[in-house]
Amino acid sequence: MAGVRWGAARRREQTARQAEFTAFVETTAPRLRRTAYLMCRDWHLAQDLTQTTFAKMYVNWGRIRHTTNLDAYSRRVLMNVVFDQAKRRSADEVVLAELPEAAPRRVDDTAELHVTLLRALATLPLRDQAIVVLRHWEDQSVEAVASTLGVSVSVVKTQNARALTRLRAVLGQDFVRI
Amino acid sequence: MDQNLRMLFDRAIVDEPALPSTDLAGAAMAAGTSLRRRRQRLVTAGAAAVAAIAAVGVVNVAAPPQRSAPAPTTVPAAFGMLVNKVCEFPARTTVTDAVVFLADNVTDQQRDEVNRALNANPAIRTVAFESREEALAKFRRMYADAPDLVASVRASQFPESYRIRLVAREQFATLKGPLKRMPGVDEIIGIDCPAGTNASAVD
Repeated sequence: MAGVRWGAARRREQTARQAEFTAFVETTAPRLRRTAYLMCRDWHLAQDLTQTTFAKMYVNWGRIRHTTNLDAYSRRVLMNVVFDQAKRRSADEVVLAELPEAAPRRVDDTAELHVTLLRALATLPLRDQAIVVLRHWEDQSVEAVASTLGVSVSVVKTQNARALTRLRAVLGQDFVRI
Repeated sequence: MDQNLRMLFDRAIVDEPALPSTDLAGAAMAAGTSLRRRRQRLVTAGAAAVAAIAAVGVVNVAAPPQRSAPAPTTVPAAFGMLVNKVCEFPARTTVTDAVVFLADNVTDQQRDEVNRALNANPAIRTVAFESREEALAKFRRMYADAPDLVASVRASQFPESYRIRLVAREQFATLKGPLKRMPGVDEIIGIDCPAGTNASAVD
């Protein structure tokens, strides 16, 4: 009898867990995918990275679902997935990036402009890209960024300042024009 | 300046395609489940343990006061789940912690002897006794969201145990045999916890 009751309880718990996870995925997917896109500049890849992030989170869902900050956790998992992917790709692919060294010609339409920002971002080391994206796109505090990336607060501060200087140089006028 | 950057980011995602209409969560759950298979051994152990608890529940409900009957040997393994979920239990390779489950009919003297032996062992850093009531309290915390399960267990169904932390990872093999042969000891199970975590922290 206890066994039957227990089975029912377990099923109910599992259903509740899955419902919770589904709700989490639905509310988080757009945000995660955008962040992933800013990191990899490819919507398809961003979709895959997001999917991998959710799968990894589901593995530990029972343990993490009551943690206070699932969003922060999801950012950390995503960034690890992004770093892993980049490492794997650099191992079997030669990327010949054409890096904009000076300010490009004046650009007016937004399509051109966004390519410019993302290309400028691409000139930074991956970790610095992550710092800029988390700090200025996700609006995370220096402390939050540090804990997401597992680096010290001072690393975030100095690398962020350096990255912004670099972006400003690469973007030239566009950075301040808007 | 931040404001500018924010706007540049907003513009960078203007060509965002719609999310695919496929079941994102379902796909993640399927992929997550197959990732989890790597931990199959653990999961299987856990499921068997849960089944054992349920079985003990049935036995106890059916025939309550038979205290003298020896507990089934699988019972202590059932309470392995009273271990921090970040730890591997039972440990496969190296061991940082261990649980010494006492026999159901352990005497006061045997319990003291085991305690003395554990405390005298230089390979063991800390020793903590866990009573049946403490085990039940832990179980309640871990299964707070399964009230039916919690309602069906009683303190008497949990074994007493000593929770020990080892000085070094390599010492479990040599330590286990002699301890297990002591009267009053039912089973010793190794746990592997990541650095900085506590095997007994269950929530």
